[in-house]
Amino acid sequence: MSRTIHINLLRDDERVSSNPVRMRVMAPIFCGVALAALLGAWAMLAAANAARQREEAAIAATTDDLKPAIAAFDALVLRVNAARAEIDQIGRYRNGRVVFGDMLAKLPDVVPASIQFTSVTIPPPYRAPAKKEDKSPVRSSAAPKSDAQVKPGKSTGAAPEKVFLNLAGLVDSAETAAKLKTAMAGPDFAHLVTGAEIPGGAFKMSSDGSGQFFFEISCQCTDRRFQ
Amino acid sequence: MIPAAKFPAWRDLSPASRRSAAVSTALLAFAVGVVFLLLLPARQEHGRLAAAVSDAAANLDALQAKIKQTTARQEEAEALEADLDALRQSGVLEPLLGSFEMRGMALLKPLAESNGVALVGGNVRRLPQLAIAEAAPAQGRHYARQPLEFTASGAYPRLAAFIRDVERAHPMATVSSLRIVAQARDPEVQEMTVGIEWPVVAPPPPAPEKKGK
Amino acid sequence: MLLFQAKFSNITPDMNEAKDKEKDKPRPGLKPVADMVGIELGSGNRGGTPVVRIRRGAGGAFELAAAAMLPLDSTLPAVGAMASKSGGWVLPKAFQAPSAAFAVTSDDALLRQASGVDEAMADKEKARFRTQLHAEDGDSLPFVAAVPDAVASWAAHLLPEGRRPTAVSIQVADMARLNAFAVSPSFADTNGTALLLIAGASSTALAIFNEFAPVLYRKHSIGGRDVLEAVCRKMNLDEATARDILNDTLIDPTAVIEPVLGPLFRQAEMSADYAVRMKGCFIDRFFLCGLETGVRYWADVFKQRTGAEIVPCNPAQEMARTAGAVLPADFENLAGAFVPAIGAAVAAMEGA
Repeated sequence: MSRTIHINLLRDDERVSSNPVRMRVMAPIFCGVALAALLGAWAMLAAANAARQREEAAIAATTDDLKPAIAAFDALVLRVNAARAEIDQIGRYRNGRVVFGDMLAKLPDVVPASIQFTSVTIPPPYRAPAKKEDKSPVRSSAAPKSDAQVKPGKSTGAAPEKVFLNLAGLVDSAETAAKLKTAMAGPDFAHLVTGAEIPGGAFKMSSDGSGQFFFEISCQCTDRRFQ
Repeated sequence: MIPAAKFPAWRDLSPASRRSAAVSTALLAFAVGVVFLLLLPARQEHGRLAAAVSDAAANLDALQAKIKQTTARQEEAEALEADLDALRQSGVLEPLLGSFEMRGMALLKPLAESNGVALVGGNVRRLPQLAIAEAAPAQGRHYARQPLEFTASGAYPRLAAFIRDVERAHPMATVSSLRIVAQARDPEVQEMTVGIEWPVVAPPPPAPEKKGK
Repeated sequence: MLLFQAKFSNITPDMNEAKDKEKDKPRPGLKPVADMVGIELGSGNRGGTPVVRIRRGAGGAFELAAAAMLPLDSTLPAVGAMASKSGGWVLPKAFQAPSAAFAVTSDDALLRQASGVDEAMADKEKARFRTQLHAEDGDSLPFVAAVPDAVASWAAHLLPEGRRPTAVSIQVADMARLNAFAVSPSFADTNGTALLLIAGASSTALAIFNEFAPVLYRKHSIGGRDVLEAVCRKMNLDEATARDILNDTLIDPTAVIEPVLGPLFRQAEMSADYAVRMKGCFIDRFFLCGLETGVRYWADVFKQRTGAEIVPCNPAQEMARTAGAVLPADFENLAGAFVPAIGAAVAAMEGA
């Protein structure tokens, strides 16, 4: 039981706390610490950014220093590519080369004696016409027309050029003509001629009354492939 | 007994508490400003710089790797150019005084003479160039097929031998067209019109026009 | 029946007038306060400001943990002065309890037996004073305590926030002395009925306790100073010699002091008689506190006049001490100066 009488003249609003941790003290402190922390974080970030910028500048400077060497390297690459491209083109050309000389020189050996050539023709390179249909270069007894076209490289891969060798002349009989045709398609010219035919209507009686026949033999030769 | 916590009215706060609240609010406002005006932009910049430095470093590495290959590339270029020179010299037709016809005639005349073929000197016709590939290469010179049409006469065997010698002497010369016609006036002499093509350096073809709609 | 004549008759209530008894009642569910510092303000002691630290020992008994005369200026501000925000007292580590109670010693302070503030003070004085009424049920005496508001405000700001201790109580020193006696072992050994004389320099308080609660309180304007002056005057001595005579038995000054103390003790007799008649309490224990000089002669005169033995009592000397209590070397001689501080501390602890 209390034996004392406590008559307290201190007002409630005069009471203060002995706790140093007071909200009205700690709140500004916390806010200040938070602000300081944010500023510190920003300062660190800014310093890191500055370092990164310096690093970026150093790399850029190094890269700039390399520019002449890179330019020289790129020039070498261009030289290499140019040389390759030219070699490729020349190589394509060489791949598309067809040799006729040996065949022409050997032709008299296979031609029967009763055949008299009036013309030996290799039509110029076949060139695709403006229209879709292509004209056959087989009938070449007339002046060769420069109607052979190289398909422009519209699509992938160059289209092979058809090569024909046309023989025209006079013969005493169909059998002789056929013999020549067979000889042209035979092993002697197998490296060049892939097929021979007497086109329809290309064997007819001569009108000069000699009893001989005009003939034409169209030999399809190896395609010229520029690839 | 501890009373239920509740926020006192502003007027009920002591001057010290009001000062504290004002200072805290101001500091918080500064903090928010720091976040949005300084920290977030700096963070964004940090990310950007990190990516930029990474890219720059990778680029530098790539460039340095490239430079290391310079010697090999140099050797490769020299080897290819030597091969190309050899190829060109083996048959790419160079104009003579600006004229392919003159060059062609210069190349064929000795062979014609050696084979007893009469080349008609003034009758060399330069035919339209033909393409080797579909499109001009991106680098290097563009080559085309340059046919030259010669007129000659002689006995068939001589003409055939002439053609054969031309093909042997000039590995790049290709007979692109031929017409040997018997002569009515002299059965022993045939007239030959032969188109021989060589690879030549040509201007690149014009780019195809785009079809507008 | 003589009543104490109020020194101040014009007292007006202000917003600080507290009629609520709840403030002093212990709040249920809370831990009892076990550590308190007591400070006397306005003691005028040249040695410093009396400060004590009281702890509760095992069993809840009060123990003195530290006492000292600290070099702090506890001179009260003048009445009518603006309340100044002084402060910044930093107490030594031995006195850094969580809370502190002040006992204000002032001629302007008031402790009166009255049932209301209006009865105790005149209206025109109430504005300058901070008042508190203490009234309990039963026979317990209602008290009105008052100090000038400027003094109370000044005292409230002496101890800074955020440091130990902070002020939790401001009491009138007269009540603090009563409280110090109320918890003393001497009083605890009685049946709860006693008459207490608290002798001051210029006045003596008289309190009658019944069942350990005060049932009568009076203040008489006769104090130790009057006795000393009588000796000086009548025996033609200086104060120091007179003090020596009062503390010695060589020369008997009874004849000189008896006329001074006679009226006081007569009042004591009458008060005791009043208590017997009105309250039914028979007083057979008499205690005398607060005297520094001439205690034996006060007791002799009291016995001559009343026939009763009055026992000197020093609550500060009697209080138990903690192990390792920090006390001044001459504490036994100074003990009396710490009584108001002790009383304020124990009352604040029991009233918290």
